[in-house]
Amino acid sequence: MRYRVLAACFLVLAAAALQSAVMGHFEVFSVRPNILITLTVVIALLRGPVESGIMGIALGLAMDILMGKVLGWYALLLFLLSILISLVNEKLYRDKLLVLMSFGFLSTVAVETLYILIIFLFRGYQHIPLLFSTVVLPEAVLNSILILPLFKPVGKVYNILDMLDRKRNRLAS
Amino acid sequence: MRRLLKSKLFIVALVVVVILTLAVVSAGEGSGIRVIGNIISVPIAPLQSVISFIAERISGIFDYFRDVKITKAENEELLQRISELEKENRELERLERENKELRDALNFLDQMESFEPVGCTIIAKDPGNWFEVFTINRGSKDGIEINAPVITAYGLVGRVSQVDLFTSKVTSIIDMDSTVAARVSRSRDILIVRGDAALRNSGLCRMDYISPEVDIMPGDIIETSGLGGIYPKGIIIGQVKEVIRNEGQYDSYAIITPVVDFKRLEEVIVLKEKQ
Repeated sequence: MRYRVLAACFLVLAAAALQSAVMGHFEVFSVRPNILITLTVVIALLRGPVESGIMGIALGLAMDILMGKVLGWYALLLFLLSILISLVNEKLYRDKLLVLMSFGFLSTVAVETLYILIIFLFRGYQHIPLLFSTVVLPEAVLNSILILPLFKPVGKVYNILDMLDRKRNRLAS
Repeated sequence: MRRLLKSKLFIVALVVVVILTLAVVSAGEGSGIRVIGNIISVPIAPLQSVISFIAERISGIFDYFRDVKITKAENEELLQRISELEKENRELERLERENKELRDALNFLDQMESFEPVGCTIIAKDPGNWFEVFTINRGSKDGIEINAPVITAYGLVGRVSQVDLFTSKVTSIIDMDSTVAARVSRSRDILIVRGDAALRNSGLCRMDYISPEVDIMPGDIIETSGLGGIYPKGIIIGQVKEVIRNEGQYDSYAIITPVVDFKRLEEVIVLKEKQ
């Protein structure tokens, strides 16, 4: 359990640091991929609702804190997204490239569309369709590519954590 | 009660309510709840500095090869421009003298004397695709305060919108949450410059609600008016790129090209008010 908490903290901090300091260098048409959304999707595809939900909140909160705006919107959206994906993950061929890419794409579209609706609609902003086509869709494409190199390393981290837990339980019994 | 607590749906609903409460409570910029931002900002500040440094060096290597190719082409063009610039330079020297006189007249220097400049390095850019907020390596321990104006040698960058222990967040003038009381240098008309989510990617901002009487045209210099109490007057914001005149009385707006290149911004100056 202790290793799991440490690994979770490290994942969140590393993802937050990479998102704020590195992802800007991978901008395509001034749109950058979002490693925090992608990591949430990967964890939700690999783990159960409780672990995914907690990681969804942590990664979402990290995103909110980094943005320096209202705290909670990304935390809420990534929490709900991770719960939904983790409920169906066992029914999927989750290591197929197309499945991974589809989840990366659709999750980004869902989260970012709801985010712009929350943030921009309340302000009476008129150019939401423009933002959808120039920001949300390119970001979804970038995230659907980013998810591919992330899936296996994160899966390995969780395999090691499971192994450590099993070892610990065996020793305890 | 125990059965209720065991219900998964109840737990999810409870978490949603807690997060929504957090969102409502943290909505104001000065909200105390934002202190929890230190949970992330304090441990990742050194990480961000190191990663930024490495990422910039790596991107510098690629830039070097690209720059060699570009430099060759630019060299020829620049030789031609030298003679034009020498002529312009003489003109600018004259304008500089005039500018100094005008700024003295506007009491600009006196205003700046009430501020202490604090040099800061940008350690992280906005993580998402919606806002233009960046993180600087100075925080409350350096005396940085909310709403402190942020500038460069060229002009206005924005203002400090959040202060953590070792870092601060700066909301730039092209962020959609930013509004700056401005004036047209030539005609002295007072207007509002604000960020726009659709223009942010191009590094531009806009001036809204321009009434038909306002004398503004492409090429006009826009500077802070000093109204609103955040920015001292006379700081250059940018230049009018385009004026879009619509039929309605207040439908017209102008697109402004800021003097600061937000894509290449690395160092900024925070104007800390002297005690």
